Amino acid sequence: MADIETGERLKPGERGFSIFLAIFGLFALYESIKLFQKDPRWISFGAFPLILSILLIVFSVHVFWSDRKKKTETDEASVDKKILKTLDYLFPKTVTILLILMILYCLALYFELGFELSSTVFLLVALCFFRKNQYIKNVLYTVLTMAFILLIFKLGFRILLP
Amino acid sequence: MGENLSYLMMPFTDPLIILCVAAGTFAGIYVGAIPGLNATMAVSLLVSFTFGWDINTALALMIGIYMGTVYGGSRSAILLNIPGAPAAVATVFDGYPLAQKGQAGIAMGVATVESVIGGFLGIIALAVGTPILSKFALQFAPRDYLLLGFMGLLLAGSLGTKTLVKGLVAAVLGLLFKMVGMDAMTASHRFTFGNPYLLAGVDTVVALIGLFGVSEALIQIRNLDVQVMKQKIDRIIPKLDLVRKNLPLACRASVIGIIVGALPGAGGTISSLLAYDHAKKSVKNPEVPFGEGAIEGVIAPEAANNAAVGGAFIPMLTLGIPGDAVTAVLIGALFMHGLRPGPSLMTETPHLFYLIVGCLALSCVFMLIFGLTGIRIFAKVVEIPKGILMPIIIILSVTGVYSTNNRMHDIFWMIGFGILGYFMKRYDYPTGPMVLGIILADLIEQNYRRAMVQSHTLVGFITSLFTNPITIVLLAITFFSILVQTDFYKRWKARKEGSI
Repeated sequence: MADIETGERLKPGERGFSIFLAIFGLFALYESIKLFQKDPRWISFGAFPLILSILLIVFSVHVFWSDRKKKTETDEASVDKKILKTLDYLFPKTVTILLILMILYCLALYFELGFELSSTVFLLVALCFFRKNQYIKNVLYTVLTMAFILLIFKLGFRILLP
Repeated sequence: MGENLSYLMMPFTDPLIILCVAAGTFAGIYVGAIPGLNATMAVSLLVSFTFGWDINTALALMIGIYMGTVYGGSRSAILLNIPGAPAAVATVFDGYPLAQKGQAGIAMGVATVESVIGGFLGIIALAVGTPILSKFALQFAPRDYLLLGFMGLLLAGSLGTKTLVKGLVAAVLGLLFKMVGMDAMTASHRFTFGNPYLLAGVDTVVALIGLFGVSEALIQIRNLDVQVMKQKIDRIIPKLDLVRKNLPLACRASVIGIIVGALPGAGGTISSLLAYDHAKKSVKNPEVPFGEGAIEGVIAPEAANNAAVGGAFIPMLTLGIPGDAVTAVLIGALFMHGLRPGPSLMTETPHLFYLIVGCLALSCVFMLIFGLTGIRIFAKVVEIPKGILMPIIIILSVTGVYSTNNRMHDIFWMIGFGILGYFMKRYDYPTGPMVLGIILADLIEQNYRRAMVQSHTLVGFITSLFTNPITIVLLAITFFSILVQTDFYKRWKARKEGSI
């Protein structure tokens, strides 16, 4: 009620996120029931996940319910516009680029392209994107950073790199 | 006793420990000063890198980083009007106005001295309070630990978020994620879907780095265009008269810091805000009004947030319940080194307690040295653009996650947690309770099952909650923590205040 009075607005996709959490809770509940059926006692390995799944559903539904009367910027918009607005809110250009680069970087490591090569390329590309028109400086920063990381972690901490 | 004393003195005599504390404090000050980097992120990364180290040196480095980061946050709060770490949020209110008047140097000098005073008072509270509390904690039954775990989650869930329920969603999510893998008591598989990669479960460090490191990098990269205003630095070391005059305020703020820091889930941010509020109410005639550059507005939060460091260690060492997110990570680090934080830590490995106290004290000494020197270089470091910093954090996160278990699939867990943490932050779900959930899951579940075994039935368990004074007090606190967050209580309180 207080939220309505203060005119607090929901963020694009906020209601959807609480629904997503409730669905996740339902899935966890389904799996927990299967576990609980194997040993239906309150001290069994399935009991605690069962309680937690129920709690997750209850809390997520509570969030959804308390948000139901709040306004959003996209209340009057069509579904596709709502989705576009949510995507725009969650994934602006910089976040999308960093996420894509990060996933590609991890895939490169997974397919054993080597830490030195993958990290150098990731860093250089990321710097060039976030700091346009400063290519020489970006190369310099990449070299210095990689030298520092390798020196500290490989020689200093002597840890195994991916 | 002699052995314990030698461990207390070890940080002052062992060159390697001295080096680790010094390096940790130095790095911590810089990490804390850079907006977007915080103590939790830094210590999470260090846990993985120092996994193979001796516990003494690993702890020395992490403690140095922790203490340094909490203090370092004041630097960017004063210079850039951006709190470098959450605990420095209240320092902004008067620190930046001081900098705008050309007094950035004196503001940073005062912040340094007061942080050291607060830090030392917090350490004294830790040294005196922990042995007493740990003896008391030995009387706790499994049901009490269960309640303590829930209390920690409730308090963490209620702080730093608009609604308690969102904090609870995060806490339950954390607990649920930790259920993945093999059950520690029966070796039964839970939520593994026949996938061998899921058998080992969610590694705490991997989740920590994802939720704190990657998600924060994604949040920070949204605002690449924040303009940095350059500052002129002049006098740094504060006058003795100024320090002496404000010593009572620093002591009061430190007491607030210690108490709030010792509450599970509260930590430096809340304590600094409360101390700032206290300063505003208790300092009747400040030379400059609060919010316009009152030096008392820097003294109180800075003394409080560093005092909270010592306070946060008290529940961690006595009960195994973290006082804040960093001590939660440190609990993870102790577990990785085969130790169990809690009352047994004080009886089985008391030397470790004295080592922690010694390292914290040494860290305060280094904080004073590094804090009052190199400030001009500092002003340059805090200006590092996010476009450079965030990709580097991703590389450090990947390196840290891999080095924990040398498993490639952990990196994908990290990305998953990073994206989930990013969504949560965008929709005002705090990630702190989720991390606490992951860390406390084993303690809560094991004590739940032990309590159930002792009580035989669910009814017996519920009845047992009302048979012991300790349990009744814990139950009452837990109940009160929930009650004060309800709309019913808030409306009642508002009505009551309105009628006065």
